[in-house]
Amino acid sequence: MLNTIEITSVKIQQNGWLLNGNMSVPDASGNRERESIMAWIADGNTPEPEFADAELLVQAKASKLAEATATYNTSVTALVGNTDQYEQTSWSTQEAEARAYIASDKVLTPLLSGMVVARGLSETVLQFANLIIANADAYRNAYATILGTYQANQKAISKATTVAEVQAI
Amino acid sequence: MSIKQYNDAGTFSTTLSAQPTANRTITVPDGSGTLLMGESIGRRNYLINGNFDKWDYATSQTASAYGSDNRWLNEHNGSSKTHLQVACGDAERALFNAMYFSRNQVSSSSGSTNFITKDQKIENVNLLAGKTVTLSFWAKADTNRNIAIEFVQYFGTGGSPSAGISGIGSQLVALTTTWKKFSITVTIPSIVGKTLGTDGVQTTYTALFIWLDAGSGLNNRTANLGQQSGTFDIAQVKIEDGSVATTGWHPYDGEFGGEVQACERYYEVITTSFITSYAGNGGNLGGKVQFTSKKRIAPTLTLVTDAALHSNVNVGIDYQMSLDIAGFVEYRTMQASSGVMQFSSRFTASAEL
Repeated sequence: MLNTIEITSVKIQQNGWLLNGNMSVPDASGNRERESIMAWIADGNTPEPEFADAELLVQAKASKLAEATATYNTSVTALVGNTDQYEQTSWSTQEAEARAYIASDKVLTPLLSGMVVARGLSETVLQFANLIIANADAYRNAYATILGTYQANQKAISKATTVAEVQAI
Repeated sequence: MSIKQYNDAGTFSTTLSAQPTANRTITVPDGSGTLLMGESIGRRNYLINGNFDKWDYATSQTASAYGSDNRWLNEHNGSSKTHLQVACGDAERALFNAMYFSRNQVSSSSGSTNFITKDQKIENVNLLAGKTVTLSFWAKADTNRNIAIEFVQYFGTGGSPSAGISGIGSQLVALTTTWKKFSITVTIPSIVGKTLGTDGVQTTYTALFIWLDAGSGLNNRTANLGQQSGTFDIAQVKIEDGSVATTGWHPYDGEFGGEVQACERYYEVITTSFITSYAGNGGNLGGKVQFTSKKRIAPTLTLVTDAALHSNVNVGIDYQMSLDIAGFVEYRTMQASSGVMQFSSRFTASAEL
């Protein structure tokens, strides 16, 4: 009968409409706001689409970024294997001592020397230093590819101006 | 407490001290509040929140909408008003027991279709159809003024329902500057021959309109009330079966909790809170939010506030999933790759008629 709801905007939303920016109105018969929207449409008005192009682009970028992040995380996990965080923390010290020892066998290598003794593999400090440097170089090369790819994807996602461009990444 | 028994012709026959055993009608001719046998103790008033106990929307409103006292639609067109909650004082307590009353401060603007109303739609047109009912309320105004009352029948939505009927029992009520109780008996038309909408009886109603200001184009509904500015106070509104207004106040289903639940069938304020210690970027957090009371129909859900919204949570929201009479699903999307994900929200769910 009397219905005086003021309509400022109507946007399609899932199974209903978003009314005036913050009211989710279901497509349910007998809903007071739904009846107002029906009357508003009957008056010749048209609801906005559920997502504007800009919103679709934001959604596509968020989805693609999540995908790139997941790929990055998976690749890094595969690269470091089961190495725990304490060992990873020691990598920089191991590499520094190894490179210093290769440059001069007079330098003290407390971490490497201790590890050689503890490992008991009949290897010399020089052999162990060369192994560490080879592993460090291999890790650096592999991680450079993973990180570089991730950063390239981030930049491409950021620069994309259409959903198609995002999906092509 | 005495129980008076009347026979089918309405003639007083005896005063009972025990439960009647035959088909009898028990009435309360003197309005003393004597128990009406054969009906629920609580369900005497067809109106919900007629005592103005619940103000879940706000304690005042200027908009034409449901916006302050639960179940009451405070509407206007052209004219304007401030509707507000007023606490009862000793002046009221000497006459009736209520916590609050409803005050409308009306500023009239000339126009044939301009109006100010206070109305309530009673779900299910079958409830009152063909019945003699008595409307009673306490009221006063800032000076001697008329108001008008009117009943309306509405036959629902869907299919091709019969057109609504307005102007039922329309009449003027003369208010003075002191509280006075008014009692008006009206016969609501039968709905024999009417077609109800196919969307269900919950889309039909009988409405009580209390007109405070009405342009000439509404004369046939308002008994020629006319336009006026002023202040109108109304308390303890009841619609009950029969031709007698009882004096007591009986909340819905006999308990105040029943009154609260009855209100929540139409309007509810919901607070939600979700937290998890870790969620990956793009992950979702949320769950099913259950309404306290099932709603009349799938309600309109309004996000009022996002309180305590953690920075890791995407402000863009998805909360309309599975919205039905029982509840809805609310979830948010994680913005950061790690950390605590937490949010609290406040919604209103409205299934008002």
